[in-house]
Amino acid sequence: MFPEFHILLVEDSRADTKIIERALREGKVEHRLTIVSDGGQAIDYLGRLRDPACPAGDEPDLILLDLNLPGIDGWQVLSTIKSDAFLRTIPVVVLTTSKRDEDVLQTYQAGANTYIQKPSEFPRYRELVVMLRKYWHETALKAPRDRAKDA
Amino acid sequence: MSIKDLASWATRGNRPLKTALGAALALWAIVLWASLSRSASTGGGSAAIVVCAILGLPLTGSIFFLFSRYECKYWRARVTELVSWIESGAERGSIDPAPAALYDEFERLIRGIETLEDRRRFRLSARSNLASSNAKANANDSSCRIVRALTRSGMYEPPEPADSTFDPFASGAFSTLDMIGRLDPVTLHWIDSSAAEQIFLGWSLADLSRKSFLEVVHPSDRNLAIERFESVVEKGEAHGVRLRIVNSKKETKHVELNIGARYDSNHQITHLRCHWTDVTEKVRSEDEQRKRHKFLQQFNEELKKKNRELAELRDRYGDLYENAPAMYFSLNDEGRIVQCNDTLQRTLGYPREELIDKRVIDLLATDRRGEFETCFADFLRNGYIELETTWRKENGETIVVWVRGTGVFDSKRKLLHSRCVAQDVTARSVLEDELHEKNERLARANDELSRKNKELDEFTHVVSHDLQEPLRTLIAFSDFLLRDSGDKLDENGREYIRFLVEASRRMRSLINDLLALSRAGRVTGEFSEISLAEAARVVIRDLAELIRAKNAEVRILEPLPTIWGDRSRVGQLLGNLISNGLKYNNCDRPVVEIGGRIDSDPGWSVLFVRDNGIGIESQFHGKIFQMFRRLHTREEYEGTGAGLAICQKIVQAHGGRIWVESRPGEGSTFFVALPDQRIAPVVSLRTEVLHVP
Repeated sequence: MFPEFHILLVEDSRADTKIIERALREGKVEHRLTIVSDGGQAIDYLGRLRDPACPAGDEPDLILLDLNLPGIDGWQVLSTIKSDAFLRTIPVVVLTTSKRDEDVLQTYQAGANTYIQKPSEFPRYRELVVMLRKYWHETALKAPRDRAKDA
Repeated sequence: MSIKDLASWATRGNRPLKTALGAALALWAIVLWASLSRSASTGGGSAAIVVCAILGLPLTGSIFFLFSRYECKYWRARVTELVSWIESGAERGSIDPAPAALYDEFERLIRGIETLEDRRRFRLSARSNLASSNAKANANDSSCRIVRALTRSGMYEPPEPADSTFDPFASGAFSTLDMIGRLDPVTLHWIDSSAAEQIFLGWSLADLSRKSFLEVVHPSDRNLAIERFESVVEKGEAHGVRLRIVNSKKETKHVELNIGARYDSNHQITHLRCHWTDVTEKVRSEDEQRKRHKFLQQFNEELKKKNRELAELRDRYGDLYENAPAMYFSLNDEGRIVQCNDTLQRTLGYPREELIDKRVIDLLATDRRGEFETCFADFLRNGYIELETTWRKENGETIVVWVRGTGVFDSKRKLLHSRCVAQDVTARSVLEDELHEKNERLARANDELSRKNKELDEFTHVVSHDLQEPLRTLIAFSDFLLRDSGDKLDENGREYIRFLVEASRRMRSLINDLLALSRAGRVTGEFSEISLAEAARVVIRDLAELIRAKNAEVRILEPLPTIWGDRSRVGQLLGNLISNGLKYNNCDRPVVEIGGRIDSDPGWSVLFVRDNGIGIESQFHGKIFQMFRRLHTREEYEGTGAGLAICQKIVQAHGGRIWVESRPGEGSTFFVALPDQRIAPVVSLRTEVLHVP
């Protein structure tokens, strides 16, 4: 069977969180979902991963990041991750409502691995999470810690 | 042959004369003695003595006369003989006399003839003078010929002259450098001529003696000459007679003649003595003087005329200079005003005497004085200056002037003077300032507008973005509700939820269109050349599903023009127009054609999209481009009514026009006219474009 698919979801909207949860459930994606509701919490969570005492399972395989967050916004979180040699290997999927060209460009420049506009219809959510699961399975089987060791 | 031979040869001729004389005297003595002895022996003898005595003397005289005549002839013959002999000898080159001695011998011979002639002349009347003169002239002529011949053959070298005017041809009678001639008082033929005269006229005495003086005189002066000679015969002399004569070389010479009559003891005129002076040079110089004088006079006149004209010009240009609509002035190398016109004086209000020699720096407004030194140094170096500065008038007002100056330098690059012109541009400057201010205001307004636009854009974006979120939630959870708890609701409840979903979806379309519209007017992408045919093919590919669903056909009527624009917006435009043509179409087989035409207005490309759809009533032709304007119910045709508004916005942002030609039931044709050259879209119209420097 696939190893556990650990997703860190950074999302302030409860409704959207619910939609993601349901999409994962309906898409029958084996997963572990960690949810943080703002940028500060996200950075805290990721910071804790440096602690050797931190269990290896807390390391997310994928970060789903909303841009529009209260306080520290998604771009700040993104640049923090991508400027950190330890964290930068974790794939970040930016999931947001905006489809403004400037936003897309800025996000990619900040180092996002991909940019996905939040689908307007629920079925597309389902397809999305299935696709992400597949993507992770094919590309991100190695743990970040192992990859760091290789580097 | 030696000079001795020559001399003996020459004197040999004396013998017959002496013999004849001796014979005559002896005869006369015998006759006298015979008569005296006869008269002594006979009584009647005294009468014979008287007869002899009486007859003897004239007889002797006659004999002597005859002999002297003969002698004269003889001498002449001898001379002629001698001349031809010497001439032939000289030509042969066989004669070798001591040249000076030969010449002396000739002198002696000729003098002998002259003495003889003088003796004769003493006895003869004035009339016979001519003959003797002829004889002498012949001798003279001969001597000239001999000397010429000898000189030519190199056997004779004339003695070194005492002065440069020495004339070896001077005759004995006129061994003078003057040009003197003796003329017959009646015929005016030459009797005698000095060598100088002969040379001057170019004829020998022999030639001259056959000529009348009048023949030598220039035809125009002959009457004058006759008149003068008549007066000489009458009054005895004439002085300073100016005539023109023509010499043997046909040269016309001016001469001044002093003519005097010479008389014999009977007060008969023997000859006219003419003393010539060649005044050709003098006349010429006089002529030249006269001409020069005349020329000077003319020149003077011309100068006067020029002066008058110059004065007029000065007046005229002076006025132009003084009252020109610009300030003229001239500076010296110290930057002082040397000259200025009235306009400058009037404009600034200083009295002229104060302006002259004023330093131009003193004219400058105080705050402009600092830059003067540099500018003036530049001017001295470059010889040219053009600048705008501020001058202070006498009354303290300042004016803005545009000054242009050109320097005139000497060879050492020292400024001689300068031509400067200053124009009062205060008014223009004020205008410029105003314009500048207006521009700045406009620029600010533009900036404001841009900012507002951006804000609006931001606003639209944020609003639509934030509006999307709850809608998504609404739609998603309505769906969850329907799926999770649908069986717990009755049919009404389920319908309400469907209404919710539908309304949310429509709301989302509206928001999307609003977003699209707000973007349509903003052309952010780079402008480039776009082949409309290619763009249309891309759009058709994108719309393939709709086309298939409608069983439609979309044709491209090539060639389509190439335009200048934002690629994605142009694609959007074509997409909207084509999908409109498909959407508002009830045909079984909808057909949309995309074509182009060259507009009559050069510089514009026109594109059309034609359909066989439902058509539009002409009263709505303008309204269809309004935002969210719909002509049909949503049940009839889907859509928010933003499509054509977006099209219009895109076209406007490209500087073009869009219009429709349509009738209900006959399809519609949408025309889009776009300029070939890029026309700056309204929103990005930057302030620099309007700014006038």
